[in-house]
Amino acid sequence: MGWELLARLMDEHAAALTLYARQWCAAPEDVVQEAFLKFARQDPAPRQPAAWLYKVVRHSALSANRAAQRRKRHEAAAAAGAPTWFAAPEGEGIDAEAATLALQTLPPEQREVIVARVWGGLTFEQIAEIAGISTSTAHRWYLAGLAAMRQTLRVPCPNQSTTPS
Amino acid sequence: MPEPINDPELTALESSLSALRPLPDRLNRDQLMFEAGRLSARRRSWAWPAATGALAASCMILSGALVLRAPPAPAERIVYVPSPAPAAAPDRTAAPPAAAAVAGVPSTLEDEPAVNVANLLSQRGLVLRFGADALPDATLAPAGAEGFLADWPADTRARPKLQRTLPPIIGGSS
Repeated sequence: MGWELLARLMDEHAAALTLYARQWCAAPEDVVQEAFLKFARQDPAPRQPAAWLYKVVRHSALSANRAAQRRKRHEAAAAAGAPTWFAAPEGEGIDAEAATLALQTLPPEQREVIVARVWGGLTFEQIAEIAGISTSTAHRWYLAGLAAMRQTLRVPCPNQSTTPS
Repeated sequence: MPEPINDPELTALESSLSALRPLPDRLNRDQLMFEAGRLSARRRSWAWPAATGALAASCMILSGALVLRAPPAPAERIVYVPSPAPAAAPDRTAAPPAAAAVAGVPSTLEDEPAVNVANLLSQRGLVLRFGADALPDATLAPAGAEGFLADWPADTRARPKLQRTLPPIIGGSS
């Protein structure tokens, strides 16, 4: 196992993987850490390390979400608790909190594709393999999610309230 | 192959969203690398532990079998000991093979009423004890004299012993 590869993956993808896991569970760091430990035990290393990590994180985060649902019996309780998923932007740009709320209002499948594509840097083929869908379906969900976020972000949000799309 | 986004607004939104940086993860990079290295070094083959466990188990089983086994039964051996011939008059019809096997005894002895099987067995015992010198002369001495010792040379070394050992009926002194 190349330790340099592991270190580089941590530097490049840890934050995006944490964002990806935050969609489903309230402790995304634990899920991401476990994914990196599993990656370290792989011999040989996966051919597509980033896609492999996203797949493992997805599976672990969904499992954690199911466990949380059994306890709390609310589908979005864990994800809705986080105030913001992004750091404050430098200069002008989309407000971090608004973007977080816009993502949270999306259907789970659209949100997953957008997070993996925009911040994970995965291709539609890789996203389709991870989610178990076709490439065209992943592309369609991506466009639909962006359109929904465009509608959401256009509407002003007084007092941090959201308007569902 | 997915089609590129034709909507410029969606393209602009995509660019704006990508400018946002996810919150820094709270992972301890050094701790995570240490854990990864420790877990990868823990992998080992189970062949040797399995072999050790199997040998230990077989050793315990054999030790228990050795301790708990029943003591071996004593071996019984039947030893046949020839019983001495009775002093009473023997039955001539019952022991003809033994009488005929005595060395140097003519077969005509069966017709001699004075010579019995007991005397023959006594002679055999004397020969075994004193050697060939204890054999009497083939011609038996008449009864009333020194028995069968009458024709023996007086300087026979075995003569005194024989006189002390033999019963009087055949020339002994005791």
